[in-house]
Amino acid sequence: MIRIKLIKFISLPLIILLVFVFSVKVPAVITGHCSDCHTMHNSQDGAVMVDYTYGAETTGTKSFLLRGTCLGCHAQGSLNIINMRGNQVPQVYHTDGSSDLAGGNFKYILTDDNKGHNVTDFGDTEDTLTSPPGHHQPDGIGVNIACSGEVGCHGYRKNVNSLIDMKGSHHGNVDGKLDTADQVYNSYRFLWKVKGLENNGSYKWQNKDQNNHNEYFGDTIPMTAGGGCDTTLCHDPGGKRPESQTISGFCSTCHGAFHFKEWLSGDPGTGASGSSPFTRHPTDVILPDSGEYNGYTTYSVLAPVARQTVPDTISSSVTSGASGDVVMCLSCHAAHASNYADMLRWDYKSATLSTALSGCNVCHTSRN
Amino acid sequence: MKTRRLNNVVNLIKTVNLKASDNLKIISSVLVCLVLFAVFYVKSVSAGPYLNSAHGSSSYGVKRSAADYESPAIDPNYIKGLCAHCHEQHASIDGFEPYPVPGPDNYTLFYSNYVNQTDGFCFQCHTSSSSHQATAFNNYNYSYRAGGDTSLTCPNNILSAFSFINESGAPVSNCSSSTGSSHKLTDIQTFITAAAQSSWGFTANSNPCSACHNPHSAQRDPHTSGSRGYPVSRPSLHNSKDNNSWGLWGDSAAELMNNYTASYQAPYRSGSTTLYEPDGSTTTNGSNLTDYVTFCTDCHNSTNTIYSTTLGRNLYQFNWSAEKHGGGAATNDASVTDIIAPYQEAQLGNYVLACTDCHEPHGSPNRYLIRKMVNGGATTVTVITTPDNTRDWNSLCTKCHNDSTSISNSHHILGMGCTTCHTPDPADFPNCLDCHYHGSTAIYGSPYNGGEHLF
Repeated sequence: MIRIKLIKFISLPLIILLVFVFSVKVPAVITGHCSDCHTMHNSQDGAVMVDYTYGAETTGTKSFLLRGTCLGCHAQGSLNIINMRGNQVPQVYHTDGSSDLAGGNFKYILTDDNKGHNVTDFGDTEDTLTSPPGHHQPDGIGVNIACSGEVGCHGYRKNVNSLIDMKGSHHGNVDGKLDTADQVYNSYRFLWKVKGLENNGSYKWQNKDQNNHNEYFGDTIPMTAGGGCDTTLCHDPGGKRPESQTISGFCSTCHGAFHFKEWLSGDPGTGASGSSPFTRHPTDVILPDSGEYNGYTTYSVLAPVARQTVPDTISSSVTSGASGDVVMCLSCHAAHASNYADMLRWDYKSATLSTALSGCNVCHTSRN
Repeated sequence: MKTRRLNNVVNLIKTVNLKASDNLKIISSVLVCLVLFAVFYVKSVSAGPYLNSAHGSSSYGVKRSAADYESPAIDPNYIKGLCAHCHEQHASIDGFEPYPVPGPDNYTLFYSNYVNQTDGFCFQCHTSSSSHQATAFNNYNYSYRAGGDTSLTCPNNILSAFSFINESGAPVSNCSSSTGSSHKLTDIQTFITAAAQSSWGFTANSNPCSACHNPHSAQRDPHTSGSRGYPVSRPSLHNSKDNNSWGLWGDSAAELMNNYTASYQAPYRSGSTTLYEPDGSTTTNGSNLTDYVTFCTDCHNSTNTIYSTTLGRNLYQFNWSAEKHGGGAATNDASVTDIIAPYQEAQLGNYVLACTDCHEPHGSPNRYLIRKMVNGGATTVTVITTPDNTRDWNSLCTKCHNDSTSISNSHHILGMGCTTCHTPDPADFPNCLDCHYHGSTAIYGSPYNGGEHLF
């Protein structure tokens, strides 16, 4: 009898615990020892502990007692995904032959500024542009950006010290479906307030094929600047983020004229009406339910689309029409860098016309 | 390529040492063959409508001049035929907007889609001077291209062809003519976007050139036998929101002039009595000519009301299927030789003409878009009033109708009295247009023969 009671006593909380474990979304937080990422004194047995470095980065102490910088962990230069002390770590820069992650590979900017976002942490500055294309002036952004912080993309995008805007994000990181997106840690790829579904399957962080890819969030009409970039639109006191919470809206916080349906100083942006005829290629507009667009039915990682609702799972289908899928900046461009001019997903400058049009033809199926 | 791969598979089968009793070997060999076939079989790739179009050709397609980009240093050197030569996706390349003009335009074009009769996006390249196309090119009139009269080198571009009138419809001196004519583009735009044509799917933003041409499909037509292209699309079939599923007209057997019950007879090509329009071949039955009757009568028919700024009135409505030059019946006067070769007396009354046999599609130094060369002969049509003592219109009509027998006899046997036509002076000649125009069934206000068509 006592034994039965003991079993009941133990099993009940165990069951409750198991139910809790399997019913609550588990944050994909960094696990392991604190010392895997932090160091108290940057010294252990006489050796420096800041040993996650990229290129010529110093091994001196870092903010938040970190053992390395962003690139120190995410640009180690070998594989596309590496194992660091038991954690899989995506590599935004790698030089081996493994396939690039969904955002691309920053190695390309080291040979051509035109191929990616010029993140100064890599030590190679922009030589051609004077401001982000499509940005209003005076911008204060410059063309040499950082991973995070005031002139970066990840985190709150507010502080000069870029690491401050990422503080704690890895500790609270949530993977998979991210449709709350009110904090950095529960936003898509730490892009504050951007929604999406991170590919968390066999090909995590990758856009491999129609069955293995991220799902991006989009809207049916671009944002409009109207009177200016107010706190609702982009310039939140907490940092910079898009009101629409879409991936294209996020890009527009720096490249506004390329997304907004009504930009500043009389510039129409992509077109004041938000409908055809557009004056720039639109984003956050549906694939029309007509003509050639109906030919895009199977998801293509060459020209991916966004969804009007963040899905629960990855879908290999593309749907046109009012409730269908959405064109986005990432339909054509890689977020970090690609091996092609203008960060495009395909070689628009190919000497073979059909190749140069290959990405266009994913949506514009009759222009082949 | 596929045949070669199949042969390889067959050869492979032959080289496999098969024994009839060895089923395993047979099966495995077949499997090997199937696997190899599956691996090496590649569906043949064919170009789509854009790559086959004039603009999308990798040989002669669109190619904006390098000088039009902000500077040679950022010349993107896009391949010929690429979208970017017409469409600026962001109105920005490497942080600058390419020439010719700043600011984004509708449809992401590098220039305003349509402004007026002589200003618009198409004319940025289809012009003789300052063309933004990197390599100079000519677009001659139909009389040159299909008619084969290579002396007619003016107009030599589309802008020039539309420049015989201005936006007000008034004539403009062009190609040594001050009495030329052009399709009035703004009138076209007004018509195709009118409520009555709403099912056609054009909008207020539509370029009037796109009433007849799909810029992503329209093909170059060399007018050479064995090498043809199809430049037009029927406006009434445009009915597609995104303008993409709008196919070409004339590129299938059902869309050619030889489909009419009445016979089509191709006119002579310039300088020849053995070769014919539109491609200089010996084909005469219209099997090599787009059915321009169906194409043109989408607009020019018995029901549509089309206002002409040039004429200051609505165009005449007419039913081509009932008119003599069209599908309607005509009477052969067996007592005279009415007609000129290649048209045959025996077939008279059973012909149907194509609009392009007499008219230029864009513009002409002649009135009413009349071609400068018809059935192998030159025309000069400048007079639209009566009397026409220079007998301008005869220069057109006599390309097919016998002047001394058919034209004179046919009129004099009507018995209407000399001064009915020869007026105000008995020596005056009436203008053919007095009675013979599209839709006419009356002579000076009096119905002819119970309403018989006079054209």
